[in-house]
Amino acid sequence: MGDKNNRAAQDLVERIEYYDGADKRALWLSSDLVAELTPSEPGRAAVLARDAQALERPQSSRGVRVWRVRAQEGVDALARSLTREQVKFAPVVHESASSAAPMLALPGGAVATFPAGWDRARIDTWLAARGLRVESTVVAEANMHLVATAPGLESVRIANELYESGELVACTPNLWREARTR
Amino acid sequence: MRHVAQLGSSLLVCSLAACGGGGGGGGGGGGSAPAVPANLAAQVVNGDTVRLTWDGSAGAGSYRVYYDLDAGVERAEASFVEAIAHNNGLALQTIDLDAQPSARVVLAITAVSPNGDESALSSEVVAALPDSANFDPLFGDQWHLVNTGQGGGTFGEDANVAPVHAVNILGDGVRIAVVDDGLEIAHEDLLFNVPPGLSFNYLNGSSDPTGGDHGTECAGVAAAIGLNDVGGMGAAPEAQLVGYNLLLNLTTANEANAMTRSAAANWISSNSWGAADGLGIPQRSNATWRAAIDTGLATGRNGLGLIYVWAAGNGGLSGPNPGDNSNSDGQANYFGVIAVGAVGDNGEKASYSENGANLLLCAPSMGDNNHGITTVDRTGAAGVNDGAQAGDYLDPNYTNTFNGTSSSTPLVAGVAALVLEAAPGLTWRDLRLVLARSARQNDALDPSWFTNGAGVKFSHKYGFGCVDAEAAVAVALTHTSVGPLLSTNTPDSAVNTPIPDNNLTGVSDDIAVVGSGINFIEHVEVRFDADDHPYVGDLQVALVSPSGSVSVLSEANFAVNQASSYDDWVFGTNVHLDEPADGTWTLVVRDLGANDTGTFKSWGLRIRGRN
Repeated sequence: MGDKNNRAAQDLVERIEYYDGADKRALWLSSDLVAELTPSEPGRAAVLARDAQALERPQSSRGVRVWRVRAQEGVDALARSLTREQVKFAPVVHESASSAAPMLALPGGAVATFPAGWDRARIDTWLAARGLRVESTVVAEANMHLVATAPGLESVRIANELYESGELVACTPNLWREARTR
Repeated sequence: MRHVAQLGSSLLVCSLAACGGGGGGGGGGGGSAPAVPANLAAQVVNGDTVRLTWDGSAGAGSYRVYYDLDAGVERAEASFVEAIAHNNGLALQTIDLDAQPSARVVLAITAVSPNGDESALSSEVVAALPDSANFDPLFGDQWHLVNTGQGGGTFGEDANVAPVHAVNILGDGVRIAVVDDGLEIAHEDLLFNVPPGLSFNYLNGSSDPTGGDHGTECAGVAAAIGLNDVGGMGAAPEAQLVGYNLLLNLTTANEANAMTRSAAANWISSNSWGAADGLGIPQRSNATWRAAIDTGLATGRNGLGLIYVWAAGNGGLSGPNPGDNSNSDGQANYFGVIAVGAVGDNGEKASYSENGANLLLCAPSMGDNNHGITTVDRTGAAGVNDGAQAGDYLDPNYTNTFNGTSSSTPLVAGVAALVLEAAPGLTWRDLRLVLARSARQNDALDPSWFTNGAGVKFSHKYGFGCVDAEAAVAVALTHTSVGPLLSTNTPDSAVNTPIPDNNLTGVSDDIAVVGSGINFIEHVEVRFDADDHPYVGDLQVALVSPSGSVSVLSEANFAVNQASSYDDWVFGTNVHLDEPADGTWTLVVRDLGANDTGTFKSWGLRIRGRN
């Protein structure tokens, strides 16, 4: 723990907005971190080729490997360029403007809650009209489904568009987040 | 299954009062009250030893305790061969008796008059060894289940499961989902309690989440198998377990799924994880998680509601700075979860355990004397027991170092399984009330305890007290299910007043609640906005109810090392249980640190309860 006079810097500038239920919330895009969501040797090779450095993560996050990268094109574009079949990368984001704040990542997907009266056929039709599809059902009793999207900022854009259609109960980008065992 | 039959056919351990046994006792006390030594208990340890413990400092008069260990002896024919104790004023008396398989321990208690005459008070079978040599070799170390003072702990500072086990309530028919970093489903002390094919791996979609040290340890605390020759046992040794390794792929979608997966068959969800501790900043839950919890409460367990047990957090500090407050965790402070703190083997708060008005109760875990919890560890070289530390078990499949509110949480989940076996019709709200009403006031002299407006004792360190399985089952068996949940949601009060910097007076504001119909509060949420104050560590926020009781929602914490604000933050509190909702509520906001300043912008209340 630090102290009040040794506060982490507010060093992030790129702000993104998304919907958490009906509330609009902000994320700040990391300038130099990408998350490898299914750590693998091909993934390691791909990022090492970009002169990247793996960061140690807590044990509870070992399903994800985080890399510090030099990304002149930005971490969102870099994550897209690194992503291959079986090798998935996502840009890291934070819930405040400090890179010391807990990390999140955008692995792709939008979690959409459809009105209770919509059956699966109606959902599929509605999504197909927007060029989208259900990837998996999240909570059947709540008519909550994961809509497939690309990783990164694209998932935020699509989630926002779906929610702002006014037809859904909720729609939020699928966020990976750090959590710790206690 | 083999272990089920064994458990079902023999008493494992019991207290004298719980064993009862009644009629036919040759040396019985007839109709007289059994003025037996306080807290007399017998416990089978290491398979061939019966350990008797009692409190020799309590109770009036002198007594003697006799025992007979003959296998198959009839109580009426027992020959009491040796006096083993007097009341000598010592708080903890212990004696270990050698025994054989199938032996039963018969105790006779006599009162001793000043002239040396004895009169029988009681004669009971207080323990019976298994019919074979099956036992749990590490059970004697599991002080969190039966604390006899082993390792320097305090007698009775445990979850008091023994009397419940003694009447064969072992969690049968209840399934616990351990949501964590994995669960070794083939572990020798878990295997028969893990139904095949029902766990889930969030990395590869299979039904095998093997791989998590922490989740495996949690599972052992909740429901390791009993009387199977290996390890110790769980709080609910016949409950079923499923494991979900959510923490290896914690996305919004997976999180919501894990909270509701198999919600009809899973009765309890044990969650020993959360946002990072030690940061001191508010970390909110997301609306998708809350919607999933709400779904589990509404539809889980065939409409009775899934039970969510949640670790309160390990960010507490020793010393004057309290460190993290559990109310800064938007999951642990949600109405739909049971937040659990940790106490050590002396019944006092582990310094890492976070304070919080949101705590429902606490449960034993490693305290400040580092007496850890004995539970399963991953098999062989995997896991935390590498044999390198002094005191490590030789058997690498077990550990005695588990700790944290992580360990308290599956212990409460196990106790909840015992309660639900005894009273399966309890709703999730009923179970919350049962656990609150049955919790034992631990560390009773601690100044944190106070009595709320409904006469209920609460502590921001302990919630309503330490989990007590015997009391919980007893309360559950007489509990009448509560009526419909009422909720009142006040408009936000726009305060918009600067909070005086470094000032004890602070700013306060009132909200009047009228006509809510809630005569018995079950939970209060406080929406609070001071989003221009850049340092939450300065702020103390307290809610005063119409009955005059105070919820401390935020404590000053100058260890916070990040800028952060209360931006439409939602606190939760259990302090006002059973108080009426109507009347004037006051929120007091104080800035207790220099330099950072901001505005008390608004607040509002959501009160849930019943008429």
